[in-house]
Amino acid sequence: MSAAAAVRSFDHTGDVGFEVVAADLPALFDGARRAVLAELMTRPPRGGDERLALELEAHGLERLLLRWLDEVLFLVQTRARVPTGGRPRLRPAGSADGSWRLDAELTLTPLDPVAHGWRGEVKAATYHGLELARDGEHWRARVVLDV
Amino acid sequence: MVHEGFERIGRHAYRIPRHGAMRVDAVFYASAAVLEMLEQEAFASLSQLVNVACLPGIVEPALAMPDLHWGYGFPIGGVAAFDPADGGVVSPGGVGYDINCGVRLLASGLVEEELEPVADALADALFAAVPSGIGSRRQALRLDAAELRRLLAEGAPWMVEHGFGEPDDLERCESGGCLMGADPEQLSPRAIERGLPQLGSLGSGNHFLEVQTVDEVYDAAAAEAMGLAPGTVTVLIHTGSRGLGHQVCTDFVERFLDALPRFGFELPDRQLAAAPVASPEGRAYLGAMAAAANFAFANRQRITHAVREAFEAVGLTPRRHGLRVVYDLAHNNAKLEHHRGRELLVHRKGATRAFPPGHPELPEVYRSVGQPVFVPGDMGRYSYVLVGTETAMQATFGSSCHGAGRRLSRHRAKKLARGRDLLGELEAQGVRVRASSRATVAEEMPEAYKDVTDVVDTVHEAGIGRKVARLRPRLVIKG
Repeated sequence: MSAAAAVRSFDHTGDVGFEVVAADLPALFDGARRAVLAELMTRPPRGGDERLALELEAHGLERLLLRWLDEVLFLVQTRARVPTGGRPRLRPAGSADGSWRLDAELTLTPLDPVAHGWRGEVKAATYHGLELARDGEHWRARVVLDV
Repeated sequence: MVHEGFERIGRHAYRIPRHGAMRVDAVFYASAAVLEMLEQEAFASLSQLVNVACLPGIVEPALAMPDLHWGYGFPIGGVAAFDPADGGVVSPGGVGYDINCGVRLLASGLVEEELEPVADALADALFAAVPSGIGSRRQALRLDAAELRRLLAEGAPWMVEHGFGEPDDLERCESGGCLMGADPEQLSPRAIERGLPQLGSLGSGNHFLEVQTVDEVYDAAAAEAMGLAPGTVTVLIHTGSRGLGHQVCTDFVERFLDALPRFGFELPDRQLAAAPVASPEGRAYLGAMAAAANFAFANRQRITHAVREAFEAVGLTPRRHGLRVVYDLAHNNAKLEHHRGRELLVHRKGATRAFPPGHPELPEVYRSVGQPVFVPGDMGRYSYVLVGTETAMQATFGSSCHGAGRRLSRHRAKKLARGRDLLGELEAQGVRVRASSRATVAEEMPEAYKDVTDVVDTVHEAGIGRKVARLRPRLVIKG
């Protein structure tokens, strides 16, 4: 397993943004998941007894990242389930249009707003200033969330 | 560079002449303070306005109101009209994630002196009666999916028919609280699932409910028409279509990006994903957007009912509180309207419709004064009531501003709040706050926002709105 991603938030007057740097794409996507959880709650939980198999496909890695983060938001905010782990696997879909696939066996635990330090809702992950690219030895992504 | 390319055309109006891929000129309104802010953000919101001016079928000019700031695709404060007969497009990014986010003002029969003895109890009762969403111990109204679809078609009237309000409430709502053409079948199952547990909830972020008092009146006739005498106790509700609307935006941005190669135009920014109004995709979005807008109207209607119950719970009988709707308006939507002899699809993202006196779409009670426009400020200072003008109708497709706009990021606001007793400071100013978390109060502290007076004065002096009254917050409920 590769090292965890480095995550930092950055200032955006209207909303919130974060940047993730990781050695590979699975770590990058997992770091982005953690960044979103950190915007939703101050004490994100670990572990959990529930499992969810997830498959996503999108044109290009940036769109796939947004779909992945929208899944995280949906699970927490609508299903009240926190995806605490289950690093995603990514691969080209094999089609000529540049599509990518993601699959993951997510670990979930029920959301406890009090215990997890609920901070407030996030509307969506946006295309605003969205970046995902290889940067030398690393992968880097920047995402702005509409809160 | 955008900042080298704009010219002053009026006291607070500036024009960016058409250049590059722009199809029309852009015009924005700004005070000296807003110009300074635009420079600090490297004119990013003006670049977004220029991008909007590149979209097909746009009718001159692309506009931004004086509260403009950096948004997604469109700048916040953006107004853009498109001609469906000329290949005009609809863009979910021009409406925003929170479809029909808007404001409803209630006026009561109470005056300031009657509020003080029950203020603490009323703040508690309102906090208990109006759920904020996740983490709230208060329960929103629960419907099944079939009933929710009926509500999406009918909007606020559904609530009144089911006992949550009075028929009079609907007469003073933009579009009667129901956008025609709603097509609930265009919503994804996920949008429905997100909406089901959230009906009648406030949400978090900048959404709020405030009990206020009228502390200044600038236009006596308009204020009288709205029942806003000095000292009157009012209630301002700011919320929208919650997760249901957010999901509609997410779904259709993706759908439009997939369909883009067929539409034959380039996008300067993916968040501006758009489809011709006349295309199947465009029509589907408008049907889904109207359904989400109706959810928002119904949401504010349900909260209105909860507010009345809270007043009654502290001993203020309906006869005594007399709470009635002054007006309910959207500041995130796209509507077909008649301008310049044509039917245009007017997008307003963080902008308010502001129709002038005499407009046939206004309720009879406001026909002589113009459409009410509500401009919330921050929880420590004030909000404003304005009315629409003929100048707005001619210059901005009948649009005006919608709020103060943030000055500080949430992270910077929290840093500034460290070690301070914000609730105590606000209480010393006569503002009682009930919030789900102290973090929310810190992020939404008054210093995090620009002074809304600057925005409102700019609007007033530019003639695209006219000041009627100022409201001071007394009780603030935050998600």
